[in-house]
Amino acid sequence: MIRRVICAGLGGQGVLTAGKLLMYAAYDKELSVTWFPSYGNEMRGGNANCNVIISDKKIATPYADHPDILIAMSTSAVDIYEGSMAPGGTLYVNSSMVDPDRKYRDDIKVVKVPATDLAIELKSERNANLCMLGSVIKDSELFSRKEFEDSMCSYFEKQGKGRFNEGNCKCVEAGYGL
Amino acid sequence: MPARKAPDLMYAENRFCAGCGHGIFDRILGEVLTEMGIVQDTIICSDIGCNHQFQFCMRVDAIVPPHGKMGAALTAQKHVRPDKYALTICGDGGAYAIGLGETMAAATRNENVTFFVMNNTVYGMTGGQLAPTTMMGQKTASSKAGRTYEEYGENFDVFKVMQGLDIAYLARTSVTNPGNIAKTKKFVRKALEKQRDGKGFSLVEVLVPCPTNWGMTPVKSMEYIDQVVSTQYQLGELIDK
Amino acid sequence: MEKRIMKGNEALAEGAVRGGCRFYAGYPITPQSEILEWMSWRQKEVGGVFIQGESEIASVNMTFAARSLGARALTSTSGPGFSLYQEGIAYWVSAGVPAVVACVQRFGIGDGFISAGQDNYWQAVKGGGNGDYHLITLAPNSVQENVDMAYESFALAEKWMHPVLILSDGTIGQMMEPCVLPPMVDYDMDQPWAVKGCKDGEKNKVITDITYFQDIDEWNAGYLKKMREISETEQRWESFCVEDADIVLVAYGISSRVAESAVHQAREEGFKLGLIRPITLWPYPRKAFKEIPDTCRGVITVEVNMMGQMRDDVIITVKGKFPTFALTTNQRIAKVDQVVQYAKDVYDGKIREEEVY
Repeated sequence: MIRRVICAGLGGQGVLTAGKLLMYAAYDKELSVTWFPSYGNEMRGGNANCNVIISDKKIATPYADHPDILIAMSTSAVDIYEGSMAPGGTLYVNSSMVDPDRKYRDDIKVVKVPATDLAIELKSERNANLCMLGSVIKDSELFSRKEFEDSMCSYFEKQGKGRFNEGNCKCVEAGYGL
Repeated sequence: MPARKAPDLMYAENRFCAGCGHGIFDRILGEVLTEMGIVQDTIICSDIGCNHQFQFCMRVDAIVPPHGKMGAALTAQKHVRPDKYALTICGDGGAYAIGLGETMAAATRNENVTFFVMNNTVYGMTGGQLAPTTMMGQKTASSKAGRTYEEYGENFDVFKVMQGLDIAYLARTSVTNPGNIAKTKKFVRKALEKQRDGKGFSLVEVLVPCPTNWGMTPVKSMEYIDQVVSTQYQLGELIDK
Repeated sequence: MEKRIMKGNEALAEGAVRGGCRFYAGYPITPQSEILEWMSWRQKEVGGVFIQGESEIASVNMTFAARSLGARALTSTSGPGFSLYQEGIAYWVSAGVPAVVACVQRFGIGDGFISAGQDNYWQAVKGGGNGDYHLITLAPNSVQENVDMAYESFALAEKWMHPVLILSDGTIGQMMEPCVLPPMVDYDMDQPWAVKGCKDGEKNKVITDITYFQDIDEWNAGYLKKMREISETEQRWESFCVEDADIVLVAYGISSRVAESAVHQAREEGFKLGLIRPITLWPYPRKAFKEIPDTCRGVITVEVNMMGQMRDDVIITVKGKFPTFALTTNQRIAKVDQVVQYAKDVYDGKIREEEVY
C-alpha cells in the first residue's frame, strides 16, 4: 500500500497542518510516512503545499510526482496539481472556493467538499482544513474517524492547543458526515 | 645594574627585529601573568602577523585562528571555559582592518575578553604597508606619497570608535621609556583584572615601534612615537568601569 | 530508544546534542535555520554553549576555538555561508581540529535560491579552502540519517583528528519523518590534545594552522598517510539492484531517494536499472563500482544542480570503462518518470555523453 498525497491551497488555509495531521495519524498507525512542505518565501502568502507519502513499506521518494490524493483548498491548487494526478486518483476539492461549473479530468474521481462553508457554519472559518480532512478520511478509508481524531487531539494537545479539541472534532465530523 | 630576571614562562629569546616593540610587550605580559599567578589559566588567541611570534618565546597555551578573527575565537573560548583567561596579542591590522567586524562585535556584546593591540601604524610582517592606523601624511610601502584623506579618510582611532560602547576598559599606552613601560604593565594588569572580575570587554592599545618598516633606528623610532605618534593617538585610560 | 517524528534539521541538531555536542555557533540562513533555533534552547538544557555569531566567518572561527578547548563543537550553514566557511575549515584541517560542520545545500551560484540543491559537492569533496585536503563527508538521505550521522560525527572526527562534514540538503532538512533517537553520550572535554592552560613544568600547546612545531616534511607525510587510510577504510555506500543492471544510477541525498523510486518503477516495467548511493562522498565509495556488470551501458548521476558535479568522481572511478552521464535538474528535484526515461534513453543510445553538463 502506498498513498501519495498533496495538500495544497493558499497561505493561511492550514494545508501544512492538514498534511501533518495525516502524517501523525499514519505514524500512530505504525505506517511509514514522510511530509515535505513548501518553505521559505512561500510561507509568506501565496500558494502553499505539502507532500505526504503514507505506506506500509519503506518510502523512497518523499515527493508525490503523481498524487493518488489531491486535497485542493483553492482554485490555484487545482490549476497546479490536477494535471499531475495519477489516473484513478481522488481530488478532494474545496467547492466553497472553486467555480461550481469547473470541468475536471474524467480519469480521476472528484469529491466536492464545501469545506469553507461548513467551517463558517461552525463559526471557525480557519478550520476549513479540518472539515476537508473529515471528508478525506471517510472517503479514502485511510483511517477510521476515531483513529484520526485521537491522533489529531493528541497532536494539538502537544502543541498546547488541546482546549480547541472539541471544536476541532466538530469540524472533522461535519466533513465526515457529508 | 643587573638585568631583571625574565619570568619562567619566557623560555627563549624572542625572534623580533632589533628595536621592535612586540618583544617588550611580550615580556610585560609574561611578567603580569606570572605576578597574577594565572599562567596556567591563560589561553592566548594569537593573531597572524608579527605578534604571533610570542609562541616561540612564551610557555603558554594558545590557539591561532585565521587572521583577524580573534573577537570570534575569544568569545567562544570564554563561553566554553569561563574559568580561563581569554586574551589576544594582535596587531592593528588584525584588530582594526580585517578583523574589525569581529572586534567590534565582541565589544558590542561586551564579551568578557581582553585585547592587547600592538599599534605600529603599519602592516609589519608583510613589509610596512598602509594600515587603518597609518597617520595622515605618513609614507608607507603602499602610500609612498603619504596617506591622504581623499584616498583613505581619517586614520582609525579606537578611542573615537569605542568611546560610546558599554565596555569595561579601554586604554592606550606606549613602551618608549621605563615610565611608559611601567604604565603599560599597570594597564595590562588592570585589563586582566576586569576580566577576572567579570566586568566585560577590555582593550589596551600599545603604541609600538617598527624600526624596520619605518626606516629608523630603534632609538629614533622611540623618539618618533613620543614626538609624533603619541600626539595623534591620545595616551591614557578612556573607559574604566 | 525514543522514537518520534522530527524535521530533518531538528533531527540533525538533536543527533549532535546526543552525540555529545556542547558547543554550537551559527548564523541564520535558509534552509537550515532550524538547526540554530533548536540549539539556542537545547544547549542551555544540556549545559552547553550556544552562540549566534555575527556572521558565518565569526561562527566558523568560534567553532574552531571551542573545539580547540575540547568541547565537541558543531556549526551549520547553507551554500553562501558554506563558501564563507572555507577559510575557517582549512584552518581546522591543518590544525587537526576534529570539529563538525553541516551544510544543508540549496541551489544556485553566489546567493542562489533557498530551494533544495546539491551545489556544494565540488566545494565539499575537493577541498574548498586553501591547500590540498579532503573533508570526511557524510551524505544523509533521511531524517534518521541526519540523527545518526550527526550523532557519530564527533567520534569519527576524533578517530582521525580531522574535521567531518555532513552534506545534507534542503529537502532532507525540511522534511519530517519518524526517527529513533539514540541515548545521550557523556563526553569529557578535558582531552589530552585540548588547550586548557599550561601548568608549571608542562610543555605548552599551540593549536595552529602552521606546522611551526613539527618538521614540515614529516607533517605532510603524516597527513598523506592519514588521508590514504581514511580513503581505504571509511568508504560507505548502499547498492540497489546493481549486479545485473543495464544502467546504473549514482545519487546521494534527496536525489538518491528519487533514484531509488526510479529503480523500483523501472524494474516493475522490466527495465534493469540499478543504483549506487554514496553515503560517504569523500572518501568516494570506489569499491561499490566494482559490482557493476561489464554489460552495463552507462552510469548516470542524478543531481540537483546544473553541471553534474558528482559525475567527476564517477569518471575518476570507472576510468573509462563505462560511458558516464548526468541527469541534472537545476533547481528542481528530478521526477521519478524523468529519471526512468533518461535511463532508457541512455540505454537506447539517444543521449550523447557531454563534456560539460
